[in-house]
Amino acid sequence: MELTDEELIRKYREGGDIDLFKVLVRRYQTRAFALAYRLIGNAEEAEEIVQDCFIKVHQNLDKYRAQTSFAPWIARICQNLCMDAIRMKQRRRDDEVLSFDPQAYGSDDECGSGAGRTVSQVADSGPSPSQVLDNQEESRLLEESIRLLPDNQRVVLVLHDIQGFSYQQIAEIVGTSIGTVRSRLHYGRMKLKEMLDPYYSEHGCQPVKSR
Amino acid sequence: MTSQENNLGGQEYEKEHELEHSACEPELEPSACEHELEHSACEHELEHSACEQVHEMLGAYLDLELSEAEFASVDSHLSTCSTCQSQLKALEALVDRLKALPEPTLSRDLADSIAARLEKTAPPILADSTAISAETTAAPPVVSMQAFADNKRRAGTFRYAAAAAVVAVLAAGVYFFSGNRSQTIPTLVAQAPTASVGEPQKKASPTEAVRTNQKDVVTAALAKNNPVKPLSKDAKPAKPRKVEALATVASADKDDVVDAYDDIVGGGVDDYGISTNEDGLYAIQL
Repeated sequence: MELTDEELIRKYREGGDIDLFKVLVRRYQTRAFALAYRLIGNAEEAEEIVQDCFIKVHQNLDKYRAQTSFAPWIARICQNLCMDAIRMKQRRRDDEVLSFDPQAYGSDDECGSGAGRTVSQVADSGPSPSQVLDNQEESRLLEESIRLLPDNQRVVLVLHDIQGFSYQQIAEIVGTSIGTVRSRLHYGRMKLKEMLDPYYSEHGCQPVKSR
Repeated sequence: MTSQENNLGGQEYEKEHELEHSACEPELEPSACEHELEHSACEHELEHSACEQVHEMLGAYLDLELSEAEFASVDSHLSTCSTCQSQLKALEALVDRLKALPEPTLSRDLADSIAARLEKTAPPILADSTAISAETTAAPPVVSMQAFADNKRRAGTFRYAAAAAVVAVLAAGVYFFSGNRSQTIPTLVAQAPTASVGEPQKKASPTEAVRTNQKDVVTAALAKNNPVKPLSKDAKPAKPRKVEALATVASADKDDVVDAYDDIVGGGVDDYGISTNEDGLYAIQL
């Protein structure tokens, strides 16, 4: 029978068998990676963050309380690391004196905060509203649009609409009130809808069919 | 004629009624809703603000994250407002698309890399393991003072350590001047290692056992480094088992050493005469 998270942690802390901790890592690494990837926008960096995340989880295992669910706890550590990375990037970017080059924003690793990008820049690299959006293209456009959201809205939107956490859990993960979560989610969705509206039919249910 | 009279009478009546109506209405409704057009504009505004309120709650309504009262109010508004209904539909479609996004896949399993990093950098957190590895052999202890100084995160600990060290130095002075040191100082040297003696040995590989006991190892290392020698023949020397563990200090990670040191600060390391200077550098009082 599969051990629960709490049992794994208890047994690991009692015996120090690293294989037990590996089970825990394998159970949550995909989810943590998905969160990090969507917040950071770069697979390599996201992998690094996931590794750092589990190292931190390990360091703080004694602080973990079985009453709380393990998934939000990992998500909290992961999103904190992502926010730190984003802030660091932002600081580095602020320090650099760059000439304006819209093309430079096309690479994956520049998607952390979405700063400086516009919907039209996303659109330029994809099909126009009058073109067909196949599933793959639709996903790409959606992912790109998510990255353009302000950090605090993106975090809440990803945690709720993609990762499936409740408002209460998100409030704990992000360290804010449920009301703030609700508000950020609302504005995030509205912004996303605004960005995507030109690509969908007026009802917003189906991708535009005509080419 | 009768019909004309009737008509005239009707017109008069209408005029009179209009006057009455216009005279009464402002009293009843002092707002700018005298005219029907204005009234419909006002209604529209009210409706609009109601829509705005509901619009902000639509997401939470969809997520079933509203209170019962809020849910009921949104529900009743939706039953009459087609605009909000279509907004809800659009929102639902957006959320469905987000939920349907393919999950990004990891290029590899990270469990082994993480475990390898843990082996190198961090000791496993065990509930109460303090066992000593039998494989450890005697070797000169290497406790990097720089490691303590480099770790800025522990500035707070440094402050406590400094305070403890001042107390220790003062206490040592008292002993020297009181002439009673022969009984006490050796005991202190022997005490620290005994903290973990007798603890059950945990199931762990030799390497893990070494890592898990770095705190004890550092304790022992500090005891060995302490230049204050027993002045009395009655004093017990540090236990040999602990001294054997000194070898592992050389391989201990910087952070672990600091961790171990920090932990034992509260457990009597000040007794060893360790103090800090202004930069937080640790030094052993000779």
